Amino acid sequence: MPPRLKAVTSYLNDLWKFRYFWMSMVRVDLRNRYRRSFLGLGWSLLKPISMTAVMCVVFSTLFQANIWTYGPFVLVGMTFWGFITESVIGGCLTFHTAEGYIRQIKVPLAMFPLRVALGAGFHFAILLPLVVVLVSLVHAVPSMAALLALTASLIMLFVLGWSLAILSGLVTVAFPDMKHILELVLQVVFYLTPIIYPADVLRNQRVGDFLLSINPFAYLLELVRMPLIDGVVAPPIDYAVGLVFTLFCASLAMLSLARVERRLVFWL
Amino acid sequence: MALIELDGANVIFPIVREKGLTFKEFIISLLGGKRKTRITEIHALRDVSLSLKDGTRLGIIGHNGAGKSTLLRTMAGIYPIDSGHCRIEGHICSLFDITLGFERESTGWDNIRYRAYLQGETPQSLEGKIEEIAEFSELGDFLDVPIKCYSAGMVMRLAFAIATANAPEILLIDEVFGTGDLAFRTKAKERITQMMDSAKIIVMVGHDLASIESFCDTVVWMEHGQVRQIGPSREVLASYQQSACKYVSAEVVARYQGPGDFNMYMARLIDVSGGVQAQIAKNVEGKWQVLCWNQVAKRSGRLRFDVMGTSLKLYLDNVLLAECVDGSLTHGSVGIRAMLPEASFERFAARAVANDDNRRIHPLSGNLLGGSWVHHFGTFAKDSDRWSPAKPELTLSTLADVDSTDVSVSCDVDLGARDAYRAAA
Repeated sequence: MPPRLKAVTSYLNDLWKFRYFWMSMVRVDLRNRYRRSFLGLGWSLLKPISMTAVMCVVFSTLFQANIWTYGPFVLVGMTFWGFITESVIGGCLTFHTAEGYIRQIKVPLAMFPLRVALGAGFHFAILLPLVVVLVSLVHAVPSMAALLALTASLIMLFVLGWSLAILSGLVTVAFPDMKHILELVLQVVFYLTPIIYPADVLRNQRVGDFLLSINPFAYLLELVRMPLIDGVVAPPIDYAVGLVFTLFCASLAMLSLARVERRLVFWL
Repeated sequence: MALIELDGANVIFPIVREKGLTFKEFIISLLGGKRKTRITEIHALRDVSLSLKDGTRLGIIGHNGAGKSTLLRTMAGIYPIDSGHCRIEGHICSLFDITLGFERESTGWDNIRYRAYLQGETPQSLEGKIEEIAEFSELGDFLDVPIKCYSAGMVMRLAFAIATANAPEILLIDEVFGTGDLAFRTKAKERITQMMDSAKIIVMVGHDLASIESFCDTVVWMEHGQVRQIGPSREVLASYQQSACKYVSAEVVARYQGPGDFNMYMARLIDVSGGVQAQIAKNVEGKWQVLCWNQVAKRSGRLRFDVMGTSLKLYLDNVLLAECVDGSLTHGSVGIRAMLPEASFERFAARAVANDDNRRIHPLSGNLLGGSWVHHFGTFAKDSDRWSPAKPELTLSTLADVDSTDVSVSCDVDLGARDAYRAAA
């Protein structure tokens, strides 16, 4: 086995050894979030749903969109985007939050961003059945092939979320302002990605089409949305771009982590 | 087989010092200018080479900031080394900062689990131990309450109970006996002693030289990030204590001509750091005696003498350091470094007793003041001018019902006073 690969597998092995710890941390995060809250977990369902409802009202009156097709369309988009933002923004402070642990015990640091990505993934996972049910009612029950394709997309999405959380965490440790900048950037990307509007809106313009073609999130969104809404497997180009982007982020995260992991404790 | 090997290890860490953001800088940064962030590098360990094998009990001593804790953290694998080699084998249990790293919103029970998982437990292996941990912590029903409602001492109990639940191969301790109440401290000490029997390598950092001497067979003395001396405990501790009182100069600062043949000189000793270490005076019999001993030694200031009739008062920055009446010291502090359990000195007053050559006992009464280095501001009895600094034995007894074996007094006043005597005479 080449030494690089060996290092990665032994790192993942280390990470696995601490599984009970980071799994507990995910539970803690979720519990803390809904502690003494009336609706509890319902809040995380309510947020994208209410946003979707608002969008439906606005778009159906302004653009005469069909609520029944537009509703699930937006809900998938919001769920997808919720996962991305939660991973990135949650990742920002993850090392700072874990300072007490990092200073005491030598642990693989990737587990703290993993904790963030798993939390975000959990919220994604509870919205997903809702979307599937909604789609089944409006359109048709998604085909087996579509669901298989969706599973592949979700795995890719999860790896991406984890990688982004690692990167945003590392960047924020070095530059504390990064959290605010990232929030801004994400806000811009949100509007540039066909989340609340159909991709065709952009495709009809020259600039819009260009922006769409260079936005990796647009491809990734298609990977999730097409199997769900249209019940078909997304075109290969979406998979290619999604995979390349995910691998790029993942390798960047791995390389940066390998470079700075041990010295990170000095910057906290 | 446990092993810690450092070979020429250097640890350098960055300290980010951000200057306060002024409005001007804010505007500049808005316009895309660079904000000044200065990064200072601290060379915390320099060329440290150590090799610890099974059975080693190592104590680390040195002044504050000498790199003791850094060394310990490097051994724990938390701090990376910049250059050199570092090899650590064996399951490590580290007892430092143990009150950090808790989920404040979660209950004691939950935190036991999280911590244990972090130490490599699984839910199955923890099953049998969790009751024992809870019992040792003596927290009872408090374990059902979120950690945020705990007092510092309670968190400490819990942390200690979890951290020591396993028999580790390598035990790293950083002044754990600092907090917690006396009963728990005694218990904790017992547990540490037990662990020491089973652990293969033990490294402890401490200012409590007495316990270092009793626990460790080897001592490394750190200074400015370097190993100043390493060797058998007794040797290293002795030279460490000697070095604690080194003078570069002694000067006579006042001469007091009293009635009759009463003649008094005052001198002060200045230590390496430039601080005033001691004030000494020549008494009626022409002997130098220590009036005041500034153990903290970091304090320097303006000395002032007030002469009133046959009495003489010595002030350091308006703080009365010593008072002499007819040549004998009636008020002043003596060089007693009493190391008391930190938690206890708020609870009781202590009394120090000095034995001189003739086994005469001179009680030194006074209150112990706070700080981990207890500075005894004792008062000499009237006849204390006979107190000879040649070979005093010091014992410290407590006024309250406290286990007096917990109280230890180091004898470096002996060395110090003798040196002072020589330096001035």
